Amino acid sequence: MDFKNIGLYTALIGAITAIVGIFEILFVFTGSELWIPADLFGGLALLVIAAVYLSGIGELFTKKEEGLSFALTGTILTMVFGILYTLMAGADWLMYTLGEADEFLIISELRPEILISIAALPLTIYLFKRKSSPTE
Amino acid sequence: MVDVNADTFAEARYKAIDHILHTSLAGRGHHALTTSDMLDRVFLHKRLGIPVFLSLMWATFQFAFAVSEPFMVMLESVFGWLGGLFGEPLTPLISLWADGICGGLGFVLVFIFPIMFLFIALAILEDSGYLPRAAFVMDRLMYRLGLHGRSFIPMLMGFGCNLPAIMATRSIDGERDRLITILINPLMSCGARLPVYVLIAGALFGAYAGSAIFSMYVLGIVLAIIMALLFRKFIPSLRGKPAPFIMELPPYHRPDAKSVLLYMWSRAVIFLKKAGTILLGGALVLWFMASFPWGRGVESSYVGMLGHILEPLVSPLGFDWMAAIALFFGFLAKEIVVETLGILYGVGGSGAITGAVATHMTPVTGLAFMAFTLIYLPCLATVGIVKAETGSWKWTGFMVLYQLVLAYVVAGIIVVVGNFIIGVL
Repeated sequence: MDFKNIGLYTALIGAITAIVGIFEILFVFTGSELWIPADLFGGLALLVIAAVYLSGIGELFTKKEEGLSFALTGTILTMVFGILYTLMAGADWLMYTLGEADEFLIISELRPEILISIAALPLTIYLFKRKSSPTE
Repeated sequence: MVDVNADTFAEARYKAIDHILHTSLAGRGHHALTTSDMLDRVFLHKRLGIPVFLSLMWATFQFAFAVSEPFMVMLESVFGWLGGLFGEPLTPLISLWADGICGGLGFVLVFIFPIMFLFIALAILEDSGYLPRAAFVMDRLMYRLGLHGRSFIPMLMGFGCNLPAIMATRSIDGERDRLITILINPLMSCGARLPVYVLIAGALFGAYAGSAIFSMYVLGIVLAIIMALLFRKFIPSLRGKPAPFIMELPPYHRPDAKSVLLYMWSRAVIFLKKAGTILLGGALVLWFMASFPWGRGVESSYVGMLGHILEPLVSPLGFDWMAAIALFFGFLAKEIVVETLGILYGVGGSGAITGAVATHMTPVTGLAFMAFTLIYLPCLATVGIVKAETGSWKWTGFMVLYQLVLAYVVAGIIVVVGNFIIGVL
């Protein structure tokens, strides 16, 4: 994968993250939810991650290695939140089996952050496997 | 002038080291970026650094609260079952077992899980090398505000316990900077306050409980910075420019599972030791005060009498006599706030403590109560260490006084603004 392709991938993940983050914040005030939850702090965290991704695309498009910093850190943050919400879904399932929750719906537990982390997984694996190369 | 020279000197020295490294190491002539360099470009970024830090802290508290919840429920069920072993608490001995030991001490013990989960997350952040970066990023902000950069490390340590955090201020050179750091350190939310937040936020904020807990930690940081600024500006003996601060950042590495679990376990052991000593003693005293004179009900008990005397002090904030008593005994150790509520609601006949909290508090008063618990007083041991470290009753008394006033002001603002917003909505 060259810098331009990484830049495109990063821009796409960053844009999706930003859009979902904006919706999570908006739904707090409008009250209308699709499959995206209303979550002020969760939405703000997504906007921060999106800002990290998008800050690096300029450098990636101009083939500067420095741009990888933002893609790498963005994927780490995406993974942190993806794992967090997966663990929270597991905790909700435990609460349901203990009889403390009325229902356990996969669709509501499968937060966008988990899906974004799955979408970012190939980029994460590539960036972690990649060795710094001055010639690239 | 001295500050500029120190900074310039340090910068020039690191540039020279960097130059030597990159020209002498094989294959590094082109100055290829290392993983540490890449991560530092974002984690230490002048605009992204602080938002990233806050996002990670929010994730930490979500993890500590939401993921630990089922384990708390399981342990709570065990204590509920143990408490009912001898039937209804109609005699003092059965009441001591059911309401004092299981309802009070047992109720506090369930909070070992959020404490363990919080310290797992903090240990991962520390072991990975991120926490020193967080201190560095906050240091930059604090230095710009005129505060000493090294202050933020003891402040971060305060998330665990204020006692070692205050002792860690010995690393700060200037006496003024050190004193300011000691005075603001109790505003950093220690692990002992976490059970209070988990109880109140869990009962009143539902899906937003993690965010409510996170907001208390942010409130603590913000208040600490504001108070430090005010002290430096308005107290003549604390005026002056902060000393410059140069920090060596450790390399990033993958957190080691063993060291993370050991750190978590060491915090859990501290909590268990506290539970077996001061919290057990507190539970016995509180149960006695809440149950006697026997058969007259909790309102007319000794603790009820004391609570009704204290109630006028906190009623403007919307707190009832039970909250007043919980805060009063919370001075011994913050976990006693939760223990007291557990015993009072238990002796008062409330089965589910979280349900009882929801009937005694609104989300606004709950948030105000959490803020008041955060600010109003450090625990007795912290007051002792402040006296020992400052060597002055004057500064210790000043700290206690300003925290009491600040707690009242902040809780009052939360109640007024919160009720106004609810009124508008």
